[in-house]
Amino acid sequence: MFYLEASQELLTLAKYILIPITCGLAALLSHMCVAVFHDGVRPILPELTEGRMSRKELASIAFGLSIGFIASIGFSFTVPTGIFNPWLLFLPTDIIGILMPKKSYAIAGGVAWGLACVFGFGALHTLLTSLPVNFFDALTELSAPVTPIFALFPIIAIGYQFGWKKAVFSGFVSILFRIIVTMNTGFSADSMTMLAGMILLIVFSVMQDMKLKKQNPELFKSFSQEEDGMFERNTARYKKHMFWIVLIGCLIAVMNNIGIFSGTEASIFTLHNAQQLAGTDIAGAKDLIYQSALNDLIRGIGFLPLQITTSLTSGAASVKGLSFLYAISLIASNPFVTVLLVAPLLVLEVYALRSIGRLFQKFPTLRAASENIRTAITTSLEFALVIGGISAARAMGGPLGLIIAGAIYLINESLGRPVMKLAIGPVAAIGTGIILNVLFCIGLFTI
Amino acid sequence: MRIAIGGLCKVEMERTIKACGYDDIQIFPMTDMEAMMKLRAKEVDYYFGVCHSGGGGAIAMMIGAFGYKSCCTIAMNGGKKATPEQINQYLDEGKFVFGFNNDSIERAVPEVLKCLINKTKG
Repeated sequence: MFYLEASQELLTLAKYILIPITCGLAALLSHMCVAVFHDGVRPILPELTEGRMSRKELASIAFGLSIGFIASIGFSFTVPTGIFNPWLLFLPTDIIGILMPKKSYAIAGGVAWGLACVFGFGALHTLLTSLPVNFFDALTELSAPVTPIFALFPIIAIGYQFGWKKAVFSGFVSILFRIIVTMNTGFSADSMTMLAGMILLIVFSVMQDMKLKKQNPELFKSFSQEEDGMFERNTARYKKHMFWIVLIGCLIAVMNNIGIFSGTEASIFTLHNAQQLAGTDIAGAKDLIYQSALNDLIRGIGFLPLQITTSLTSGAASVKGLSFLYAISLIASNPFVTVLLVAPLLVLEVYALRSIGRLFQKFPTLRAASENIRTAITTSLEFALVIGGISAARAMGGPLGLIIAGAIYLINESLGRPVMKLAIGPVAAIGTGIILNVLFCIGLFTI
Repeated sequence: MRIAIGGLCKVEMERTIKACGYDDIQIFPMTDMEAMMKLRAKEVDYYFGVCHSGGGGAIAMMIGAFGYKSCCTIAMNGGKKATPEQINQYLDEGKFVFGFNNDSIERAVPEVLKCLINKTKG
C-alpha cells in the first residue's frame, strides 16, 4: 500500500519502466517453457519441450485459449480502473514467447507489448476522460457492488457442495455474524461475512472427509507409480528454474505493491475503490486494501490445486508462483519490504509444491471444495459486475443508459456469450459510455 | 456409458446432461484426481471437465496422465465451439477427455452427448 503516500510522478515513472521489463522477462520465460501465466497452456507445454508439437502449433492453441480473456477481462478490467492486470499483460507474452524462435526475439516482443500497453492505455485514458459525456466518474459505480457481493462466495460454494440446507444456514449465520461484529467492533463488515462463510466451508469439508474416510477408504489411496514418476521428474524440472520463478515473482509483487498492477478479479475493483478513496480517507483506503489482500489470499487457496496440478503435470511454473505473493505484496509497506517477504515465500513455494500436492490427495473434499470455490468466485463476481455495470450505465445516462447497457448484455446472451459473462458488466458500462458520447455529439442526448 | 464430470460447475454440468434425457448415461461427479484414477482403471468411459478457458484446469490432469492426444477442447472461452463433424473426428481419433468453458456448458454438452450416443449405436 506504498502508493497511498507516494507521488504520482514516481508511480508513473515506475509504470513505464517496470511493465515493459516484466513483460519482456515473462515472454522469455514462456519461450523457455519455464513459466506461463495461462493455466490452460501450462499442461500443453510438454508437447513442445518433448517435440510433439511445433512452436507455431502451440502458439495458435495458446492464442485460441487466451483471446477471449485478453479481449474481455484484460481490456475491460483495466479501462475503468487504470490498474493493469495479468490477462492483459501476460497472456500475450505467453503467446509471444511460445511463438518466437529465439530468446532475444521473445524478450523484444515482450518488451514491445509492455510498451504498447503502457502507452496505449495512457492515451486511451486521456481520450476517454476528454469526451464530452464524462463517464469515468460513473464507472466507480461499477466496482461498488464487488466487495460486498464477493464476500458471499463461500456460501455459494457451500451450496454447490453440500446442498441448500447448509447454504441457507450458512447465509443466515454469515449475515448475522456480519451484523453483530460490525455493531461491536471496527472490523470491515465484508471481511467478516467472508470469514464466517469460509470457516463454515472448511468445517463442513473436514467433517465430510472424516465421514468419507470411514465409508470409502479407497478414495484416499495414493497414486500409481506412473504418476508418481511423472510428478517427481516435473518437480525436479521446476526446482531447477527457481531463480527465474523468484525473479519474475518479485517483479510482479513490486508492481502489485505500488498499485499499478492487480493480480486477480477478486482484488482489482476493491483496489480501485481504495485508490479512489486515498485522497480523502487514508484509513478507509487501507481497510479496502486489507480486504483485497484477504480476497487474494482466499482466491489463492481456491486456485491452489489447479496451480499444483498444472505444475506437477508440466514441470512449468506460473509467473505469479502459487499466487500467494499478491496478498503479501498488497499489505507490505513498501517495495523493498515486498521483495524481502516475497522472495523467501517463492522459494518456499517451490520446495513445498510436491508436499502440497500430496496433502490434497489426502483430503479429497478440500480439493473438491477448491473447485467449488472457483465456481463460486466466478458466479458471485459475474453477478456483482452485472449489477455494477448496469448501475454505472444508469448513472451515466439515466433510463437511456440503462436500456443501452441492457441491450448490450442481452445481445451477448443471445449470441452465445462471445464476451465472457465475467466481463460483460464492465464491457456494457464502457460501451454505454461510448454510445452516449456519440449520441451527445449528434445532438440526441443531453447531460 | 459412464461419464465422470469434474472441474468447475459440476452442478450445472450434471443438470445439463440429465436434461438431455438419455437413459443409458451414468454420471459421476468427482475431482479430476479421482476421475483420472477411475479412467485408468476403466471404471468410467469418458471425462467431461470445465474451467474458464475449456482447455486448462478442465483437462490439465488428464493431459498429464493420458497425453494431449487423448484430450480435446470442445468449447473455449470467446464462444468458439467444435462442430458436430469435429466432435465425430475427435471420437474417431479415440479421444475420451473433453474440456468445456463454463459459459458454454448448456450449448456444447448436448452436442457431444448426441455424437457419443450415435457412435455407440452405429
